[in-house]
Amino acid sequence: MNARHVLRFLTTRVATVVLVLAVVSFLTYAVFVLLPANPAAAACGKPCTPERLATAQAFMGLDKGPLQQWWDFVVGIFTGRTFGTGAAAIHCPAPCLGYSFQLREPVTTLIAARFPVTASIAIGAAILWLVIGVFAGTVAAVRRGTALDRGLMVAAVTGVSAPSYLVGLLGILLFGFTLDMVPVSGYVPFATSPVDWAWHLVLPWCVLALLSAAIYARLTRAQMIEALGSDYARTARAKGLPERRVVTRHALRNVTIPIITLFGLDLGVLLGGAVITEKVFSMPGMGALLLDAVSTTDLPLVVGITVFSAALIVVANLVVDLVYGVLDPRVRA
Amino acid sequence: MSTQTRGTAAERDGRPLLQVEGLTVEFDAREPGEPRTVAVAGTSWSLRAGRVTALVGESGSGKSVSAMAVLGLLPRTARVGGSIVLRRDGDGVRAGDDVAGVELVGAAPATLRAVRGAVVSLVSQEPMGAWNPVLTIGGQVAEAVRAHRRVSRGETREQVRALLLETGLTDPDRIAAAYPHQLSGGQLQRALIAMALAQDPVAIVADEPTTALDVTVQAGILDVLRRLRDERGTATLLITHDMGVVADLADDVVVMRDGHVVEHAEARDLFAAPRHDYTRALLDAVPQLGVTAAAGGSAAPSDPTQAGAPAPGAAVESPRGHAVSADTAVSADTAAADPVVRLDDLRVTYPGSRGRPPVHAVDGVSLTIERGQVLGLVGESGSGKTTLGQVVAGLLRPTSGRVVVAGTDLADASRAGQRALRRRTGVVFQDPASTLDPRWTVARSVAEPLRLHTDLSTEAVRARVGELLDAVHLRPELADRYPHELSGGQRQRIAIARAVALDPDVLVADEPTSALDVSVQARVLAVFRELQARLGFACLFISHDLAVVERVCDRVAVMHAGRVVESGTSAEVLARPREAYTRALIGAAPVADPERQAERRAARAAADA
Repeated sequence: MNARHVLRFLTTRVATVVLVLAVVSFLTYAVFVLLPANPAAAACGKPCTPERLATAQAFMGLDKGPLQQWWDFVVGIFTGRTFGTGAAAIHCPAPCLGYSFQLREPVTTLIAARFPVTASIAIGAAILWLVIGVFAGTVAAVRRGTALDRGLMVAAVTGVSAPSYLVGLLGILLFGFTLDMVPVSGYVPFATSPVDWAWHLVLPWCVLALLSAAIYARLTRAQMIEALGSDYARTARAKGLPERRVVTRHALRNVTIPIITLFGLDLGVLLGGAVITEKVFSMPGMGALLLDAVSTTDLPLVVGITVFSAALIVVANLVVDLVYGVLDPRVRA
Repeated sequence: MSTQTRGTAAERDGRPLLQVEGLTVEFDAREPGEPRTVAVAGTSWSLRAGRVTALVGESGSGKSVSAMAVLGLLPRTARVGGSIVLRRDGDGVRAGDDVAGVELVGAAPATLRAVRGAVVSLVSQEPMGAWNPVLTIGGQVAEAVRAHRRVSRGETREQVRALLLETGLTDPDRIAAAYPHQLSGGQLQRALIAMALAQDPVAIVADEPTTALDVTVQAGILDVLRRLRDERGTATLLITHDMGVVADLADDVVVMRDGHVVEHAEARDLFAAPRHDYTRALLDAVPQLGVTAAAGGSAAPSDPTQAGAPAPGAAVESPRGHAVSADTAVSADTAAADPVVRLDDLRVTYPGSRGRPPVHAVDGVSLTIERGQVLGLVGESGSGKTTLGQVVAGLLRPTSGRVVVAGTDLADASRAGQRALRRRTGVVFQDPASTLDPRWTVARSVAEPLRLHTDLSTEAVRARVGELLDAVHLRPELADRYPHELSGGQRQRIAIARAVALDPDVLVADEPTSALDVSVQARVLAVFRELQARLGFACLFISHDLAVVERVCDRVAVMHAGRVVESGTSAEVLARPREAYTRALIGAAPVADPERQAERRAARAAADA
């Protein structure tokens, strides 16, 4: 495929991404406009006279129609926004995903502070579960029917069915308190100390990876068994290749394709916030932020995080599609 | 032995290259307690150097399983017994190493791996599936070149080129750089042979190497295999169900049935004087072009029109009077009043994917099918015949052109009109296993059109299903069975029963017997003809097999690249083809007679030159 086709492919895909995000943000807005909660009432204080409420609403831009509010939000992403006028005015610079009047910070700033935490948890865990899952699944498939296969699959079923808060708490109890091997909570930025960063994340990574590794192991095993029984694997064996090479070069290349699809989406979702894990390990990530925002009905923050998370998933999708083209020559044509 | 081979020790002392003695293959039962399945029940045969030995038989005969046992490529549930000895001095290279032989049954994985590819290699059936879809052809061939030896990159590339050239791929660099999906079936199969030759093996196992290919492509592949035998002295174990392929290529033939060898003879002797009844039956069941019209009644087990005799067990109500026109009146299409199917300048175009030109699957076809007439549509894969069939069956909307079926113009018809039209159209597809719902009983499948389109009571439907099963010569108790409990032939007869349940005006049959064994095909064709004679529907019969078409069809239309290049009565088109393409198609189909096939091959070669 030549450069022109790549370009056309990319343009159409990016256009799709933009459209999807527009729809998601609109739907999110619609939900919150329809909800009875009113951020202005929360900011109005007591006693809340109708005049003060109206002022607060005007300040927050809630006095406009729902469609206009959504449009202001979209425009704000590109140009930034200013709430209110005069000395009291609050500026929210582009890319402005809204302004949390409760926390008195632009949503973008809040996300920027929390996202590295979530990304650290998510990416580390994802790499861990991908490696463990694919390896375990491959071993189980190659040794299928043996005690090893059964053992791995029992472990996988256990992993799939174990709730992450339980595993997390047990992990903290065992490795944190009883054995005193790893810190039980808190986050150290990578820039401060890479070692402490990793040390604080080991437990969350393992807890998150356990669940997903089990799913990936099962998927890999099923795909691998199919691939090893395929005609092309037989052709490879008939050439006199050792089984190891049949597995790695021939079967695994094909098994990777569906695995990567799932991986991209899982990672995209996780980057939007690993809610339970963050709470259990007291990590100040996006999930924790979202949870707080929901419990305090901080609507601008909820909308901002939702749109940001949706963007992550859509972008992950796009990346998967591009990687797909590299891995599978059939979709390149 | 008349063939020129390298003078191997094996040939000099007459000992075979591969000696199979008392081979048994059993498969473990799925459920504990059930008996094991016996696939091969103690067979003995041999493969001689520089010769093509064909293992022939119908599905389930154990021929493929035997071949995979040689390579040690059976699934893990297989238990192999007996002996397969590969002579070490089988080829010139190893002549000095005069060990009696290597026992392959129960051999260590390392031994098998050393044998695979280097001594015996495999060419398998499905050219697309045999290649890893995500690796290039060149990469995969190179892997074979380097499987057992250290070869430098540059030399590997040269060898890959040479191998691809040797198998008749004139554009080796492009082929090597291509991925499997970018090549045709014929190219893939040639490259697969190239890959099999990479380590200069003494023997090739070719498992149905041409079954998935068009006849013209098949002829080329068979030529390549013949050349390997003649020039390299490669012994070939050819697994096939096609007696025409056997006649074309084989020197020795091993006929298998139900895991037993029923006959083992030189090809010429076997075709000239088959000793075993089963071999004879197998040969008789092969439809042969031009034989139907002759007195060779043996070729057609039940053929109502031929000898004027009714089909066995059938009450033929009308002796296909309308179809006589095929032999007598050449101008059949001008005589009839109202054709059941009329296509005018039909086109089906698919938009090209990203920057490619659109594909004209059907490119301006006009044809008619009269009431009671069977029109055979022949052509190679990609010629558009299936697309055309789908349009007639109302499953696909044409891009342009007029389609009139049973007096209704498809373009004008409303949704209800199209639904009504579907009621008058029956369809039979190639693979009966996938066209019947596996969770439905036979009765339910056959009754479905009746329940959809009629108000018959439950009892009436039940009675009608009984009639239909009787019409396709199936026992009434099969009504309560499920598809997996039936044989392929029975399933296809059920598909036919379902297609004619509403007494349609038109039946579209798309390769209805291609997935069946020849003996089963003969039965299904007999049932089809009898039904057609009785019900008098018009039929579009799509097939790649000219001999089948000749037996079943009154008229023939030959499709090539979306167009009908020639049409006329079967006798006319198939016996005296006007177009070069039709002649090539007829010439390429091998006949089940080594003498005649050799003549035809010579004639084809002369025509090419």
